[in-house]
Amino acid sequence: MSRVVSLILCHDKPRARAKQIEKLVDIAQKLRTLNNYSALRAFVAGINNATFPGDITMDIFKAKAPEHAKNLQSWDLLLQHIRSHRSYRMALKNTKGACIPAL
Amino acid sequence: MWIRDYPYDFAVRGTAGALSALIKSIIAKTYLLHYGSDFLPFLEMLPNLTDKDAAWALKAEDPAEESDDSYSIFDDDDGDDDTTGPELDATTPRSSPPGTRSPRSPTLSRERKPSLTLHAKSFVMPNNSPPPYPGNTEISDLSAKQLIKELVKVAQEVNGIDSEEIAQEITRIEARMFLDIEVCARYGYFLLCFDSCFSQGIGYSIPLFPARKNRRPTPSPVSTKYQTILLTGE
Repeated sequence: MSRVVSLILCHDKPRARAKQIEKLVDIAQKLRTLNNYSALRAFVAGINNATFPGDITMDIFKAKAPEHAKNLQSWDLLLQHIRSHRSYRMALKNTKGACIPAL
Repeated sequence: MWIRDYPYDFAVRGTAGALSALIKSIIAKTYLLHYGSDFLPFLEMLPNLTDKDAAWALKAEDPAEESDDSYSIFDDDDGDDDTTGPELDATTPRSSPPGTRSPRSPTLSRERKPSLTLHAKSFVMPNNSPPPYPGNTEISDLSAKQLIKELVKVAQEVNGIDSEEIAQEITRIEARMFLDIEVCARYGYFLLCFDSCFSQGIGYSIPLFPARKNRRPTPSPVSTKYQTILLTGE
Protein backbone atom coordinates (compact mmCIF):
# COMPACT_ATOMS: atom_id res chain seq x y z
CA MET A 1 0.00 0.00 0.00
CA SER A 2 2.78 2.40 0.88
CA ARG A 3 4.36 1.80 -2.49
CA VAL A 4 1.10 2.68 -4.21
CA VAL A 5 0.96 5.89 -2.18
CA SER A 6 4.57 6.68 -3.07
CA LEU A 7 3.96 6.10 -6.78
CA ILE A 8 1.03 8.52 -6.75
CA LEU A 9 2.48 11.23 -4.56
CA CYS A 10 5.87 11.40 -6.26
CA HIS A 11 4.16 13.47 -8.98
CA ASP A 12 3.69 17.13 -8.16
CA LYS A 13 0.97 17.91 -10.65
CA PRO A 14 -2.61 16.72 -10.14
CA ARG A 15 -2.85 15.70 -13.78
CA ALA A 16 0.15 13.41 -13.46
CA ARG A 17 -1.24 11.96 -10.23
CA ALA A 18 -4.59 11.35 -11.90
CA LYS A 19 -2.84 9.54 -14.74
CA GLN A 20 -0.97 7.41 -12.23
CA ILE A 21 -4.17 6.59 -10.39
CA GLU A 22 -5.73 5.57 -13.69
CA LYS A 23 -2.89 3.15 -14.34
CA LEU A 24 -3.12 1.72 -10.83
CA VAL A 25 -6.87 1.25 -11.14
CA ASP A 26 -6.27 -0.58 -14.41
CA ILE A 27 -3.87 -2.93 -12.61
CA ALA A 28 -6.39 -3.34 -9.81
CA GLN A 29 -8.99 -4.32 -12.41
CA LYS A 30 -6.76 -7.16 -13.55
CA LEU A 31 -6.17 -8.17 -9.93
CA ARG A 32 -9.90 -8.34 -9.39
CA THR A 33 -10.21 -10.57 -12.41
CA LEU A 34 -7.59 -12.86 -10.91
CA ASN A 35 -9.51 -12.87 -7.58
CA ASN A 36 -6.51 -11.41 -5.77
CA TYR A 37 -8.39 -9.65 -2.97
CA SER A 38 -5.26 -9.03 -0.95
CA ALA A 39 -3.53 -6.96 -3.59
CA LEU A 40 -6.82 -5.34 -4.58
CA ARG A 41 -7.34 -4.10 -1.05
CA ALA A 42 -3.78 -2.81 -0.93
CA PHE A 43 -4.26 -0.86 -4.16
CA VAL A 44 -7.60 0.60 -3.08
CA ALA A 45 -6.23 1.55 0.33
CA GLY A 46 -3.19 3.14 -1.27
CA ILE A 47 -5.26 5.21 -3.67
CA ASN A 48 -7.59 6.34 -0.88
CA ASN A 49 -4.66 7.28 1.34
CA ALA A 50 -3.04 9.31 -1.41
CA THR A 51 -6.12 11.48 -1.93
CA PHE A 52 -8.57 13.36 0.24
CA PRO A 53 -12.15 14.54 -0.18
CA GLY A 54 -12.18 17.52 -2.51
CA ASP A 55 -8.83 16.71 -4.09
CA ILE A 56 -8.46 18.08 -7.59
CA THR A 57 -6.66 14.90 -8.53
CA MET A 58 -9.75 12.79 -8.04
CA ASP A 59 -11.86 15.28 -9.99
CA ILE A 60 -9.47 15.07 -12.92
CA PHE A 61 -9.38 11.28 -12.64
CA LYS A 62 -13.17 11.01 -12.61
CA ALA A 63 -13.47 13.33 -15.59
CA LYS A 64 -10.78 11.56 -17.55
CA ALA A 65 -11.68 7.95 -16.78
CA PRO A 66 -15.27 7.67 -15.53
CA GLU A 67 -15.31 3.93 -16.06
CA HIS A 68 -12.28 3.43 -13.84
CA ALA A 69 -13.75 5.77 -11.26
CA LYS A 70 -16.88 3.63 -11.13
CA ASN A 71 -14.76 0.50 -10.66
CA LEU A 72 -12.84 2.15 -7.84
CA GLN A 73 -16.08 3.14 -6.19
CA SER A 74 -17.44 -0.39 -6.45
CA TRP A 75 -14.30 -1.80 -4.87
CA ASP A 76 -14.64 0.74 -2.07
CA LEU A 77 -18.08 -0.67 -1.40
CA LEU A 78 -16.83 -4.22 -1.73
CA LEU A 79 -14.06 -3.76 0.82
CA GLN A 80 -15.79 -1.53 3.33
CA HIS A 81 -15.91 -2.76 6.90
CA ILE A 82 -19.65 -2.34 7.39
CA ARG A 83 -21.31 -5.37 8.99
CA SER A 84 -18.00 -7.14 9.45
CA HIS A 85 -16.94 -6.83 5.84
CA ARG A 86 -20.18 -8.43 4.70
CA SER A 87 -19.78 -7.53 1.03
CA TYR A 88 -16.28 -8.91 0.93
CA ARG A 89 -17.29 -12.11 2.70
CA MET A 90 -20.08 -12.65 0.23
CA ALA A 91 -17.80 -12.02 -2.69
CA LEU A 92 -15.26 -14.43 -1.25
CA LYS A 93 -17.93 -17.04 -0.70
CA ASN A 94 -19.15 -16.73 -4.26
CA THR A 95 -15.70 -16.75 -5.78
CA LYS A 96 -15.19 -19.71 -8.06
CA GLY A 97 -11.74 -21.11 -8.44
CA ALA A 98 -8.55 -20.10 -6.71
CA CYS A 99 -8.30 -16.78 -4.94
CA ILE A 100 -6.06 -14.93 -2.56
CA PRO A 101 -8.09 -13.61 0.36
CA ALA A 102 -7.38 -10.30 2.01
CA LEU A 103 -5.64 -11.26 5.24
CA MET B 1 -3.32 37.42 2.53
CA TRP B 2 0.08 37.68 4.25
CA ILE B 3 0.96 40.67 2.14
CA ARG B 4 -2.25 42.29 3.20
CA ASP B 5 -1.96 41.50 6.90
CA TYR B 6 1.79 41.69 7.51
CA PRO B 7 3.37 43.67 4.69
CA TYR B 8 6.30 44.77 6.83
CA ASP B 9 7.46 41.16 7.10
CA PHE B 10 8.69 41.51 3.56
CA ALA B 11 10.99 44.33 4.59
CA VAL B 12 13.31 41.86 6.31
CA ARG B 13 16.69 41.54 4.68
CA GLY B 14 16.64 38.69 2.21
CA THR B 15 12.88 38.45 1.95
CA ALA B 16 12.58 41.06 -0.77
CA GLY B 17 15.00 39.19 -2.97
CA ALA B 18 13.17 35.95 -2.49
CA LEU B 19 9.82 37.53 -3.18
CA SER B 20 11.00 39.26 -6.32
CA ALA B 21 12.57 36.04 -7.57
CA LEU B 22 9.32 34.20 -6.95
CA ILE B 23 7.27 36.82 -8.74
CA LYS B 24 9.67 36.90 -11.66
CA SER B 25 9.42 33.14 -12.06
CA ILE B 26 5.63 33.36 -11.88
CA ILE B 27 5.33 36.04 -14.53
CA ALA B 28 7.75 34.14 -16.73
CA LYS B 29 4.96 31.62 -17.32
CA THR B 30 2.30 32.90 -19.63
CA TYR B 31 -0.46 30.98 -17.89
CA LEU B 32 0.54 32.48 -14.54
CA LEU B 33 1.13 35.99 -15.78
CA HIS B 34 -2.30 37.12 -14.71
CA TYR B 35 -1.74 36.02 -11.13
CA GLY B 36 1.81 37.34 -10.96
CA SER B 37 0.77 40.75 -12.12
CA ASP B 38 -1.26 41.15 -8.91
CA PHE B 39 1.98 41.19 -6.93
CA LEU B 40 3.73 43.87 -9.02
CA PRO B 41 2.22 46.89 -7.20
CA PHE B 42 3.38 45.43 -3.89
CA LEU B 43 6.88 44.94 -5.30
CA GLU B 44 7.03 48.61 -6.14
CA MET B 45 6.12 49.71 -2.64
CA LEU B 46 8.42 47.16 -0.99
CA PRO B 47 11.43 49.51 -0.76
CA ASN B 48 9.34 51.96 1.23
CA LEU B 49 8.41 49.43 3.88
CA THR B 50 10.25 49.14 7.17
CA ASP B 51 10.43 46.16 9.44
CA LYS B 52 8.41 47.03 12.53
CA ASP B 53 9.63 44.02 14.48
CA ALA B 54 13.32 44.62 13.89
CA ALA B 55 13.84 45.79 17.49
CA TRP B 56 13.10 42.47 19.06
CA ALA B 57 13.99 40.19 16.16
CA LEU B 58 16.95 37.89 16.11
CA LYS B 59 19.81 38.97 13.92
CA ALA B 60 19.36 37.62 10.42
CA GLU B 61 22.17 35.62 8.88
CA ASP B 62 23.73 37.07 5.79
CA PRO B 63 22.01 35.46 2.86
CA ALA B 64 24.37 33.39 0.70
CA GLU B 65 22.99 34.77 -2.52
CA GLU B 66 20.50 37.51 -2.65
CA SER B 67 20.22 37.70 -6.40
CA ASP B 68 17.04 36.66 -8.07
CA ASP B 69 18.83 34.04 -10.13
CA SER B 70 19.56 31.96 -7.07
CA TYR B 71 16.01 30.79 -6.91
CA SER B 72 14.58 28.49 -9.53
CA ILE B 73 11.29 27.39 -8.21
CA PHE B 74 9.34 26.53 -11.31
CA ASP B 75 11.45 24.68 -13.80
CA ASP B 76 8.87 22.49 -15.40
CA ASP B 77 6.60 22.93 -18.34
CA ASP B 78 3.46 21.04 -19.19
CA GLY B 79 4.97 18.85 -21.86
CA ASP B 80 8.05 17.95 -19.93
CA ASP B 81 8.04 14.40 -18.65
CA ASP B 82 11.01 14.73 -16.37
CA THR B 83 9.49 17.38 -14.20
CA THR B 84 9.68 17.11 -10.53
CA GLY B 85 7.95 20.31 -9.61
CA PRO B 86 9.61 22.71 -7.23
CA GLU B 87 13.34 22.19 -7.13
CA LEU B 88 14.52 23.97 -4.06
CA ASP B 89 18.10 22.93 -3.67
CA ALA B 90 18.31 21.26 -0.30
CA THR B 91 22.07 21.40 -0.21
CA THR B 92 22.36 25.19 -0.51
CA PRO B 93 21.47 26.73 2.81
CA ARG B 94 19.06 29.62 2.69
CA SER B 95 18.75 32.30 5.25
CA SER B 96 15.55 31.88 7.06
CA PRO B 97 13.88 35.02 8.27
CA PRO B 98 14.39 34.59 11.97
CA GLY B 99 11.97 35.87 14.51
CA THR B 100 10.60 38.58 12.31
CA ARG B 101 7.38 36.81 11.74
CA SER B 102 4.53 37.05 14.11
CA PRO B 103 5.13 35.10 17.33
CA ARG B 104 2.09 33.07 16.48
CA SER B 105 3.71 31.42 13.47
CA PRO B 106 6.82 29.28 13.76
CA THR B 107 10.02 30.23 11.99
CA LEU B 108 10.06 28.46 8.68
CA SER B 109 13.18 27.02 7.19
CA ARG B 110 13.56 27.09 3.44
CA GLU B 111 15.55 23.92 3.44
CA ARG B 112 13.57 21.13 1.98
CA LYS B 113 13.49 18.32 4.44
CA PRO B 114 13.19 14.78 3.16
CA SER B 115 9.56 13.90 3.31
CA LEU B 116 9.68 10.42 1.90
CA THR B 117 8.83 7.57 4.17
CA LEU B 118 11.25 4.75 4.66
CA HIS B 119 8.95 2.56 2.54
CA ALA B 120 9.21 4.99 -0.36
CA LYS B 121 12.97 5.09 -0.05
CA SER B 122 13.19 1.32 0.00
CA PHE B 123 10.96 1.25 -3.07
CA VAL B 124 13.34 3.52 -4.92
CA MET B 125 16.41 1.67 -3.74
CA PRO B 126 15.45 -2.00 -3.75
CA ASN B 127 19.04 -3.14 -3.41
CA ASN B 128 19.36 -1.59 0.01
CA SER B 129 17.39 -3.50 2.52
CA PRO B 130 14.74 -1.34 4.15
CA PRO B 131 16.17 -0.08 7.40
CA PRO B 132 14.24 -1.33 10.38
CA TYR B 133 15.43 1.59 12.42
CA PRO B 134 15.62 5.24 11.45
CA GLY B 135 18.92 6.91 10.82
CA ASN B 136 20.23 4.68 8.06
CA THR B 137 23.12 6.63 6.67
CA GLU B 138 23.01 5.13 3.15
CA ILE B 139 19.48 6.29 2.46
CA SER B 140 19.93 9.63 4.17
CA ASP B 141 22.84 10.33 1.82
CA LEU B 142 20.40 10.63 -1.07
CA SER B 143 18.67 13.96 -1.04
CA ALA B 144 14.90 14.11 -1.16
CA LYS B 145 15.04 15.60 -4.64
CA GLN B 146 17.00 12.66 -5.99
CA LEU B 147 14.71 10.18 -4.30
CA ILE B 148 11.67 11.80 -5.81
CA LYS B 149 13.32 11.78 -9.22
CA GLU B 150 14.01 8.10 -8.85
CA LEU B 151 10.42 7.49 -7.81
CA VAL B 152 9.17 9.37 -10.84
CA LYS B 153 11.37 7.22 -13.08
CA VAL B 154 10.03 4.08 -11.46
CA ALA B 155 6.48 5.35 -11.90
CA GLN B 156 7.12 5.98 -15.59
CA GLU B 157 8.47 2.48 -15.98
CA VAL B 158 5.41 1.06 -14.29
CA ASN B 159 3.19 3.04 -16.64
CA GLY B 160 5.00 1.52 -19.59
CA ILE B 161 4.45 -2.09 -18.57
CA ASP B 162 1.24 -3.91 -19.42
CA SER B 163 -1.24 -3.95 -16.52
CA GLU B 164 -2.01 -7.62 -17.05
CA GLU B 165 1.63 -8.60 -16.64
CA ILE B 166 1.99 -6.56 -13.46
CA ALA B 167 -1.16 -8.07 -12.00
CA GLN B 168 -0.06 -11.59 -12.85
CA GLU B 169 3.35 -11.10 -11.33
CA ILE B 170 1.85 -9.65 -8.15
CA THR B 171 -0.55 -12.58 -7.94
CA ARG B 172 2.22 -15.08 -8.58
CA ILE B 173 4.31 -13.68 -5.74
CA GLU B 174 1.39 -13.38 -3.33
CA ALA B 175 0.15 -16.88 -4.11
CA ARG B 176 3.55 -18.27 -3.21
CA MET B 177 3.60 -16.28 0.03
CA PHE B 178 0.03 -17.29 0.87
CA LEU B 179 0.70 -20.97 0.37
CA ASP B 180 3.75 -20.76 2.59
CA ILE B 181 1.68 -19.63 5.56
CA GLU B 182 1.88 -22.03 8.46
CA VAL B 183 -0.26 -21.45 11.49
CA CYS B 184 0.87 -22.46 14.94
CA ALA B 185 -0.88 -25.76 15.72
CA ARG B 186 -1.85 -24.73 19.24
CA TYR B 187 -4.12 -21.95 18.02
CA GLY B 188 -5.22 -23.63 14.81
CA TYR B 189 -7.98 -25.84 16.10
CA PHE B 190 -11.50 -25.10 17.30
CA LEU B 191 -14.55 -27.18 17.91
CA LEU B 192 -17.44 -27.32 15.48
CA CYS B 193 -20.65 -29.08 16.41
CA PHE B 194 -23.30 -29.41 13.74
CA ASP B 195 -26.97 -30.14 14.40
CA SER B 196 -26.81 -33.35 12.48
CA CYS B 197 -23.73 -34.33 14.39
CA PHE B 198 -25.59 -33.78 17.65
CA SER B 199 -28.09 -36.41 16.69
CA GLN B 200 -25.34 -38.74 15.70
CA GLY B 201 -23.40 -37.92 18.82
CA ILE B 202 -20.33 -36.97 16.91
CA GLY B 203 -18.35 -33.84 17.21
CA TYR B 204 -15.64 -32.73 14.89
CA SER B 205 -12.69 -30.52 15.48
CA ILE B 206 -11.53 -28.89 12.32
CA PRO B 207 -8.22 -27.13 11.99
CA LEU B 208 -8.65 -23.39 11.34
CA PHE B 209 -5.80 -23.20 8.87
CA PRO B 210 -4.78 -26.73 8.21
CA ALA B 211 -1.53 -27.69 6.64
CA ARG B 212 -1.79 -28.47 3.00
CA LYS B 213 -1.58 -32.22 3.43
CA ASN B 214 -4.06 -32.57 6.25
CA ARG B 215 -7.31 -30.88 5.29
CA ARG B 216 -9.94 -33.46 6.32
CA PRO B 217 -11.75 -33.00 9.62
CA THR B 218 -10.85 -35.69 12.07
CA PRO B 219 -12.78 -36.66 15.20
CA SER B 220 -10.77 -35.96 18.28
CA PRO B 221 -11.17 -37.22 21.84
CA VAL B 222 -11.67 -33.63 23.01
CA SER B 223 -14.78 -33.27 20.93
CA THR B 224 -16.58 -36.21 22.56
CA LYS B 225 -15.99 -34.72 25.98
CA TYR B 226 -17.56 -31.43 24.95
CA GLN B 227 -20.38 -33.25 23.20
CA THR B 228 -21.16 -35.03 26.44
CA ILE B 229 -21.17 -31.77 28.32
CA LEU B 230 -23.52 -30.15 25.83
CA LEU B 231 -25.94 -33.07 25.74
CA THR B 232 -26.10 -33.70 29.45
CA GLY B 233 -25.71 -30.11 30.51
CA GLU B 234 -23.09 -31.06 33.09
